[in-house]
Amino acid sequence: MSKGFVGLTLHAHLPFVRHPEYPRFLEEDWLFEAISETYLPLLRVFNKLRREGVPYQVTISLSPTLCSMLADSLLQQRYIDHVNLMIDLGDKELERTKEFPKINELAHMYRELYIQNLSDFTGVYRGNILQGFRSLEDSGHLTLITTSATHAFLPLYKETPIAVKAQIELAMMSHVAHFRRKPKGFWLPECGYYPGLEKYLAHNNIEYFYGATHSVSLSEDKTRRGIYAPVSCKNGVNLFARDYGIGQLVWSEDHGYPVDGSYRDFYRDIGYDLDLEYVRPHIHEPDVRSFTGYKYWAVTDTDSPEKRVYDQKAALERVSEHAENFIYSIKKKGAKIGKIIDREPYFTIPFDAELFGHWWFEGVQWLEQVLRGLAEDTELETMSPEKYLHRYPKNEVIQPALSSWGNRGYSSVWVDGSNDWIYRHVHRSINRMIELADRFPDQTSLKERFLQHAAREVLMAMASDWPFIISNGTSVGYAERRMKEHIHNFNLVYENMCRNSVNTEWLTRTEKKTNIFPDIDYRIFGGGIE
Amino acid sequence: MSSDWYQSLSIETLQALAKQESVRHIENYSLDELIEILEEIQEEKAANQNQSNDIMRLKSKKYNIIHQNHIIHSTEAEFAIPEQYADTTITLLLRDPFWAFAYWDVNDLELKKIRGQQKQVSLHLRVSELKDGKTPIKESINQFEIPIKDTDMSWYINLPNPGSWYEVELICSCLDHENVLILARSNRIESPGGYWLEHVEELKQNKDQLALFLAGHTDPAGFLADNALIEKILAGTMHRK
Repeated sequence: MSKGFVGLTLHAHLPFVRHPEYPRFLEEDWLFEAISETYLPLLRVFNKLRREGVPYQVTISLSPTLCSMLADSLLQQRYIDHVNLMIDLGDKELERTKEFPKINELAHMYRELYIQNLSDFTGVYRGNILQGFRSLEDSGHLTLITTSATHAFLPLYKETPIAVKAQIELAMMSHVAHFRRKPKGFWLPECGYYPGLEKYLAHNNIEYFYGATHSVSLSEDKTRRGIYAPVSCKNGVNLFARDYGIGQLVWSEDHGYPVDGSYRDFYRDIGYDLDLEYVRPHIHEPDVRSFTGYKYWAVTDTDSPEKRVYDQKAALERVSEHAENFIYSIKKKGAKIGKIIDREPYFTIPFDAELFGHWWFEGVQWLEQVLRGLAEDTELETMSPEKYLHRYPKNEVIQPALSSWGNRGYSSVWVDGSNDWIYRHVHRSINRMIELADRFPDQTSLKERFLQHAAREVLMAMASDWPFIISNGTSVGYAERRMKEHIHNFNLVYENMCRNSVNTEWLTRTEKKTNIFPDIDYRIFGGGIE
Repeated sequence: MSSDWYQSLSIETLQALAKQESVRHIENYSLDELIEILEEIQEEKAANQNQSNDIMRLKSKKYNIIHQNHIIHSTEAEFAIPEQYADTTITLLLRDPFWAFAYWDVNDLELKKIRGQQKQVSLHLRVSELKDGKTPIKESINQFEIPIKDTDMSWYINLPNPGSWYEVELICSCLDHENVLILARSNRIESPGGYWLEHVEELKQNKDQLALFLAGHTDPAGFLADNALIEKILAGTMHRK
């Protein structure tokens, strides 16, 4: 067959969660778990492959909210505290499980992972792991791209284009601040696209973005290559539409690789399984049981009456099989597609980064095996979208269709009976922010800071995470509270500005808490849209 | 797991959890009743999760730091936000090709004034289907009305046809429909359609195009992507003339 190209993309994102007002905060564990289980293991694998001279290209989208947290000194120190707490738990586990060799071996493995993470975090990266990604981009192994500033699901803000523009502009600024170069690619949160969005991407010199499969297949225009080559919007911005079928080899919760019985079970964790007295020092107050990362059970076949103890050796054997199967499936598809289209097919295969290592414990090893396999393969190779566009600068011009990769392909996750109430308030806040920016374009000093913070609060309220969490029922209380907090804070500024007053004490306290986007300029909400 | 966990909690903690789930009159329930209510809420949430696609289900694991929604913030101050806003507006959001979500605010004084002038007035949503984004509303292809109550603030609207444009007016009319007052007019939205929706026969005849279309939307096990328009197109390719 002719050659094919594999565009592996990992989208890394978490909402901005930072609570200096508490000594420890449960939802900050989202970040700590992702650093321990996903980001540091991924960096170790990418560095190992680089050291060994294995050629690979992977695109990583790092959201501005995630970057802000990873660069934050308070959260960096809290991560160190968190890992130390888990290492202490590991010490206890080695003692508790010494009569059970298989479990003891696993306890040892987890404890060593935490020690390795601590060493990498403090020693190699000096607390800021973003430099690890930057270094891999410098060597040409990773391509780093960005996404909207607070991960807003943009189709629901089509009617407030200034807010869409602000989300994109601020994302670009944030990326440059962290990585010292402008990204050429843009990850649309949840692959949420609406016709016309490309205008704001072009304003920021974005060359390409990612979309759902049907952003191309349900276009008003026909294509000759389907989703197996990028398409261009009329303004020249390119779209890479994901291959749903290949992605499902991993994503599918019914038959995807991660649900194999040999792999480690995500849910069974000693934070739940052991006596409260024993785990109390390692979980959250007041006696809120939570994950500790010490998980001893395998997914196990569905017909088995009891969970099996996790066998890492058996799991790693399955990792190799699944990596081979993944490459085989792409080749098989490539052989078919290669006969239909007039150039080497490009397979756009994006995943959420946190799927690897966190939910699918062996996922990072699987990715390593896939990259090794592709490096040796004669028919396939990894290639970044940028390189592919360099190779094929001219692509079919179409008008992509409204789409997302959410349920049924549109916006139903982010607008349902549980979360639809938020839009009345967020849209109103955006319009009021535009009003403030237009009424007070030349503020300085305290009032300028007040307005900067108002812009911050509006953008935070636009985050797609809150309606998603409310819809999925995972941490509803927290998500609802965050929504209300941002709307409340914005309204407070709005009302004060209308009264020509500034609450200095409140401003200082709130700025300290929500310290994201320190260089924001509220005027991004002003001036209208051309 | 859930039941055992609830059984281990005090009635005060259960009440706090129930309050967090917006259960009203929590003090009227016994410990067993509270456990039953909380279990039902969790079951409902699980059912909602089952309706999600694979990406959304896996994505939710990222936020799964605890098994269920057991976070209690009851000691923290609540952040007050307005229930509604003082001016009269209506906004329309497209949810998918067949559903839109409309929310509105009505100025109470304005409504009181109308009620003072007219007897027996009622509120409606008038939905207009249009061929494009510019055609005046009076040239709509189709119109229908949805009666609403004064207390309603939002509505899910079933859109008859993908590929059309829609606009909604919030109207106030007296019962004999002689006087109709438009209180607010929404933005216009387009329900997506697509080339192949209008050219199913062409897709059916063109084996390469059909193969490309299918390749993008089916997984190696043969399962089809969850999208109503894709399903409609593919169903059309299977029909005989």
